[in-house]
Amino acid sequence: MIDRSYKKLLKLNRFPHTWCPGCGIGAVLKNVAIGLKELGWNEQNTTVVSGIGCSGRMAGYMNLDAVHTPHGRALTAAEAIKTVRPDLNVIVLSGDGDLGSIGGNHLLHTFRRNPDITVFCNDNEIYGLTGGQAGPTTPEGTKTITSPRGEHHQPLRLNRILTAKSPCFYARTTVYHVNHFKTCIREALLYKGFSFVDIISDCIELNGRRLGFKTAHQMFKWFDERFHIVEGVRDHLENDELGIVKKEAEVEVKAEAKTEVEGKLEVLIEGLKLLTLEELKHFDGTNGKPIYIGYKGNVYDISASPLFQGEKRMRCHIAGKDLTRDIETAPHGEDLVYHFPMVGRLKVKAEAEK
Amino acid sequence: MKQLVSGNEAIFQGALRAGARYFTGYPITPISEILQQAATHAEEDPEFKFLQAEDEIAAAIATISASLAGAKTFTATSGPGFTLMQEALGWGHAVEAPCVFINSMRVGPSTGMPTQPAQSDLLQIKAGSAGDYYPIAFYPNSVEESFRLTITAFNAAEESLSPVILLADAFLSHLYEVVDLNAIEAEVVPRAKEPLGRSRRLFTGTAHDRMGNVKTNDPEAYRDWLNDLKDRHLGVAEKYPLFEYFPGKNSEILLIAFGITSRIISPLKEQFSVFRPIRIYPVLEKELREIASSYRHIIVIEGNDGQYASWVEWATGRKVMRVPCLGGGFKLQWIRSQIEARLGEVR
Amino acid sequence: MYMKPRLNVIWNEIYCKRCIICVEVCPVQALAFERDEIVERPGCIRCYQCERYCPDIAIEVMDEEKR
Repeated sequence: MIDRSYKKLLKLNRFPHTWCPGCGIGAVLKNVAIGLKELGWNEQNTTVVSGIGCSGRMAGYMNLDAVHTPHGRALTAAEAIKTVRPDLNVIVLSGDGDLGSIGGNHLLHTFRRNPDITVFCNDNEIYGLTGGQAGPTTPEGTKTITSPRGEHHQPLRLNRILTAKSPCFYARTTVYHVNHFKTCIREALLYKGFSFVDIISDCIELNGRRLGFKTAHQMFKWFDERFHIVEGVRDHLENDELGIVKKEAEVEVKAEAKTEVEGKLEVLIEGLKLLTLEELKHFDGTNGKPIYIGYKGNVYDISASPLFQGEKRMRCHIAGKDLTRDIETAPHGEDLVYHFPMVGRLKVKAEAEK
Repeated sequence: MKQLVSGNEAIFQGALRAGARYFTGYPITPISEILQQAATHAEEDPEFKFLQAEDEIAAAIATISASLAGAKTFTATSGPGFTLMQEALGWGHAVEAPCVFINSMRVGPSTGMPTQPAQSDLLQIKAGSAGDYYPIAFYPNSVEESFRLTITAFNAAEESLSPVILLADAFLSHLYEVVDLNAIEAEVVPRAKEPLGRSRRLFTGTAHDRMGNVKTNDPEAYRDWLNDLKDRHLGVAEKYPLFEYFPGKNSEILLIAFGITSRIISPLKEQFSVFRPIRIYPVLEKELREIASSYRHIIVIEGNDGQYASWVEWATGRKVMRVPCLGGGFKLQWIRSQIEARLGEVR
Repeated sequence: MYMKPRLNVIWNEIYCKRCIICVEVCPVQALAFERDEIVERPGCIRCYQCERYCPDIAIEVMDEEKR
């Protein structure tokens, strides 16, 4: 027996809904409603925000307080609502054109600010409502009414953009892989922070037919060929993978990296040899010898410098000498020296006498 | 306690007094100080939220959405930013969200002369967004009045359920005057609109009936809805017929000026009669017609090329003379000579 | 609302847009689209696939106790 209580979250009196036969948005609406119902979210604690386009009409069918924003502004509206009312669960139902193209700037910045909202993006790779124009996620070479010889440009890789920083939650699924789809919805709703579910969906009437598909189900099969599910939580998704990317905040990772570097430095210093100024003079780059210079008591191997290559001197600096004073008067800073490996320590007079 | 307060500070303090809990904006001279104060205030008061938006489009949308969520909200910008906010302004009227937009005007079009003062966004308050809508706009001319009118704007917003516009100019924003804001008493209208998360409403910019059901091919429902909106807005506007009128002695000439221009021409009050509209939109039609009827000549002095003058012509059905103070040049001497020149033409 | 009873599924004629996802997704070909109607043929294994895939909430597999 199947639980059909999710229907309470839909305005069934307005059904049948406005979308074309076989459109994936209906499946998105239904499965999101199922996801909300499973978590017990209702009109007392949830608000849904949508943008413009076919997918923007989803908010009107949810039996919750809904905000239908101007084109592309759903994320900003959702963030503002969450800021003022942290007690509300805010979900965004919108499409790829709305979120990725006209709302692209808002997508980047909402992602950056990481508010606790959940975004369901109906990614059908086309502008459906206006008749099938190429959108930001239309694959290169696809014929649409605004790209009659095939789309010239690369699509927007949401899987790359929305996993570029930590923390992040990005999931890609399709309307065909229903179990995976439901898992992604549930995980996204439970995630604290900005979570984005990229739902590959079909627009059979205004995209699929032009691509040669007769029914929505044939497009589903095409999704199955193009994508495969990867298990577990990933740190990125390839363009043909369906799965969940979840990254925690970066703080701990940074601390580890730092101690590692410090450890290496200590080892290096212990293994250094002592060189006197006399010995240093030999390493002036002649006869294939390395080029050494002294700086603040250390010896650096600057053989890799393109300016010193094969010559004893570079402008006013002479190889095989202590250049501590030279650098003080040089127009560049000492950071130039630190680019090169340190190979020894300089034995100054006091040390030599000992 | 009396303090030296700038126009921007007075606006922000006025908003706090009116109960604002959310501010969002994008930096633009001359209102950046409001952003700065809001950010500082948000650090001290956890009840007050601040967002520095990525652009004015986001700022305006966030202002309206946060208002729907239940907070009293406002945003501030200048001409170029106000242009970006037009989309949200239309939406704010459609979803009936009470909030306040502050537009401190500077010379346009586009970037114009950053940041010389102007009064050239009057048509933008009424005609910038698509379709018919009936905004309410006020324009103070002093720091104290900025404080008062900010509260009035919030009240009008709550009553009319719409974004109300408070105009200022670069001059006024940065004008410092000695006032005691705490001593000013003002009535505050509380929020009546039910916040989000209580029921099953749809707030949409698409045409809808009173229940929030989308109706995209029903002229009847649209007409009903728009007429309701219009009646409500004009009704609220009528509650605030704000203007100042100084009848001069034996004067045949009426000068009309508002905002900072009215301050600059105040020495001319001895010679001419002066009318200062405070509610800029809806235009004070009745008042203008009544007062103008006893004068032979009307001269509108404003920081644009005759935007308010055209409204006066429409309201009174008479030709008026114009003194446009363009490019941030508000000089009493020059204005006086221009008035003389206009009068010379008709004498 | 007119709902035509089938043996194992309930089909909602008003919600249905005839996208025939249910027909194509059925693993045992127990559904068919004939004369603008979804008809049920013998052999339904009650796998709920049609209901799960229907974007219009127009088809439901009947619960056991209601049969």
